[in-house]
Amino acid sequence: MRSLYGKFIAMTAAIMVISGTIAFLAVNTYYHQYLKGQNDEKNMIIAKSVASFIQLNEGLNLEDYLAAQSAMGYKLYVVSERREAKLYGKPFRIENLSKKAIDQVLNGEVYHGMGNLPSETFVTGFFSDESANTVGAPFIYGGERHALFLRPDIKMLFTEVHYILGGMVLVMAVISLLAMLMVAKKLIDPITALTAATKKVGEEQFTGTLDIHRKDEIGQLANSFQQMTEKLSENDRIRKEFISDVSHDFQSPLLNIKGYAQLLLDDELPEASRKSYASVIQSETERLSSLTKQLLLLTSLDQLSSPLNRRTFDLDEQLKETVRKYRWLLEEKEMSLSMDIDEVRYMGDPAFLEKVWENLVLNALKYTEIGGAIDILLTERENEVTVTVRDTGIGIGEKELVRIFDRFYRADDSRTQQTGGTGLGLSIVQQVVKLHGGTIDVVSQIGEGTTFTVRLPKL
Amino acid sequence: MMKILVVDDDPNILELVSIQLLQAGYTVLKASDGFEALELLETDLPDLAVVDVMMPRMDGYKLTKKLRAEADIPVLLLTAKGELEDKEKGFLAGSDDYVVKPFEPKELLFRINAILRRYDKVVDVFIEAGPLKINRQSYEVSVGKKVLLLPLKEFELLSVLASRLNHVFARELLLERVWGYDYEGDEQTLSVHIKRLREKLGKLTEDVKISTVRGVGYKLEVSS
Repeated sequence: MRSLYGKFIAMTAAIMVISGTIAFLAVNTYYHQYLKGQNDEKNMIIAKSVASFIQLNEGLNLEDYLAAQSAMGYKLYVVSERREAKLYGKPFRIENLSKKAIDQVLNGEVYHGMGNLPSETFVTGFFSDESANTVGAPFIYGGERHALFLRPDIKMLFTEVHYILGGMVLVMAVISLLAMLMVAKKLIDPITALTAATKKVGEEQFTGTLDIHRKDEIGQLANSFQQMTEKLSENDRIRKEFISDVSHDFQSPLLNIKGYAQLLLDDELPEASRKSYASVIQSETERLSSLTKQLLLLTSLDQLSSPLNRRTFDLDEQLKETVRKYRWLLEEKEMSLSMDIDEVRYMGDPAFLEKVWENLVLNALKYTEIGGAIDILLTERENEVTVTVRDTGIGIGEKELVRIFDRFYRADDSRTQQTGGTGLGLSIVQQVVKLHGGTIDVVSQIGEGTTFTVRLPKL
Repeated sequence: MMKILVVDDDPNILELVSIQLLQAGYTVLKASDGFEALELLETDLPDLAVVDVMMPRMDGYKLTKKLRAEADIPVLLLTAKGELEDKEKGFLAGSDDYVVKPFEPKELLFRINAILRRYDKVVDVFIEAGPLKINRQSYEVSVGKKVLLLPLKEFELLSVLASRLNHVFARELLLERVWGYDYEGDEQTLSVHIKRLREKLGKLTEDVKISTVRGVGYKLEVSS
C-alpha cells in the first residue's frame, strides 16, 4: 500500500535496523579500542593462576583438573612439548591458533591473543569464538613443558543473557511498530478528513464543518481551511447575488427598450408619443451604458493587488473641475452651489478619486429639489484631508442609510427610474475611499438633506 | 439668429455638435480644419466659434489666436481629458471657455449660452463690491476662498446691482435687464429671486446687503 501507514512502518523498521547497525559498530570499535586490552589482562590473570596452580601441585590429576576448570565456563587448549594437543570444553568455532604462538608459550612466554586480535569492523572481537582469540600461559607438569590457552565459553556463560537481550529487542521492535501505527493513525485520520472536505469544496459544497480540534500544525491547517471555506462560501453567495442583481438590472432596461421599440413600429403613432417613446429608449440605453462602465470600474477596483496609481495632484482643482462639469445641471435645476476649498496637493489616484467626487456631486444634484443648494468643503489638516458634500435634498431614511453603500441598493426604486441611477455609484465611492485608507460618513435627515464626509489620510 | 462656427477634424463629432446646435436654434457653419475655418471667415461672420484643440495642420490654440486677431469672435475650446493642464494655454491664446470631451450636449449649450450672454451685455467682466468679487467670465461669486455658484438669473441680478453700489435700481429696470424686454412675468418673480439672493449672500458675507427701497426698488450696500 502506498499510503502513509506503509511508509511509517517501513521508516520505523529502517530506523531500527540502521540504529542497531550503528550501535553495533560503535560498541565493537569501543571494544577494540579500550576493552580488548582489559579483557586480555583479566583472562591472562586467570590463565596464569591456573598455570601456577598446576605447577605448585605436583600430584594433580591434570586431566580432571582441566576438565573441572572448563566446566566452569572456559575453553581450555593444552599443548605438550611433544605437540600433543588436547581441548577441554566445547570446540572453537575456528581453529586458527598459529604454530608460532604455541612455540612461543612452550618457550615460556605468554600469549596475548585477545589483546592482539586484529580489529575487524564487522566482527565482534569479544564474541569471536576462535582459538587465536585466547590468552596463553606456560606451565610445567610432570617435568614436561605445556602451553595453556584459554578463553571464556561465551555461549555457555551468556546464553540466558542472549535470550533476555534478544527478547527485549524483539518486544521493543514490535511495540515500536505498533505504537508507530497508532501515531500514524492519529496523524492520518485528520488528513483524510481534510481531503474529504477539500473534495466537497471542490464540488462547491460549502456546508458542513470539520471535526478537527487540535492545537498542532494539523489543527492550524484545519482551522485555516475552515476559514477559507467560510470565505469561499461567502464569496460564492455574494457572487450569485451579484449576478442575479446584474441580470435583473440589465433585464429591465432591455425589456423597456424592446417594448417601446415595438410601440414605435406603429405607423399611426402621433408625433408626441413617438418622441416620448424614443426618449425612454434613449434614457434606458444611457442607463445600460453607465451600468456597464461602472461594473468595469468596480471590477478593476476589486483586484487583489492595489489597483491605485498614485501621484501627487491638485485636489482642489479636481473638485472645481468636477463641479464645473455639472454647471449646466445646476442651472437646469436652478440650484446654487457654494465651495469653500483649501488649496490641497494630495497623493492619490486622480482617476479613481474623480469618480468619487463625480458620484457625490451628481447624487447631491439628483436628489435635491429645484432651487436647492449644495455646499462643498475641502479642508486640509495635519495628516488628512476632508471633503464634505452637503445638500438640501430629500434625504435618506434611517433604514436605508445603512445599506446605501451596498451594490445595487437603491433607496427608492421609482425615483431611480427617473434619475437613471445604477445603485453602484456609492459602492464605487466607498471602495475607492477604502483603497486610499480613508473613511466615508453619511448623515441624513428626511426632507432636510444629506451630508457625505470623506476623510483621506495623507501618505 | 446667432451663427456658430464649429471646427473639428472628426466628421462624426462635427456632425453631432452641429445637429445639437441646430436643434437649440443656432445657425451652424462647419469647418473640418483651421484653414477651412479661416476661409469661411472671409465671407461670413459667426458670433462664436467652437474649436477642437487637437487638429492636424493648425491646432486649436493657433486657430483661436487667428480668430481673435482677425475677427475678434469669442472661442470655446473642445479639449480631451489629458489636455486639462493645457487649459491655461487656451485662455492665453484668447479662448473664452472650454469643454472637456466627452461632454453632455447640455453642457456645451450651457457654456455657449453663457459666453453669448456675456458678450451681449455691456457689463464689466470683473465687478468688485466690498469683499465680494463677481467674475462674469466663470459666472462665480467669491469672498476670499469661498466660491458661490448661482443660477444665472440670480447671478445676473447680483451683477446688475453690484455694477453701481448704493444706486437704487427700479424694479422695472431690473426685470428688463435680467429677464429681457419681452418678459411678461409678474413682479413676484423678482421678489422671490431677491429673497433667495439675500439668503445666499448672507451665508457668504455679512458685509454686503441688498436693501429694499419701498415703492422703488433695490440697492446693494457694503457696510463699513
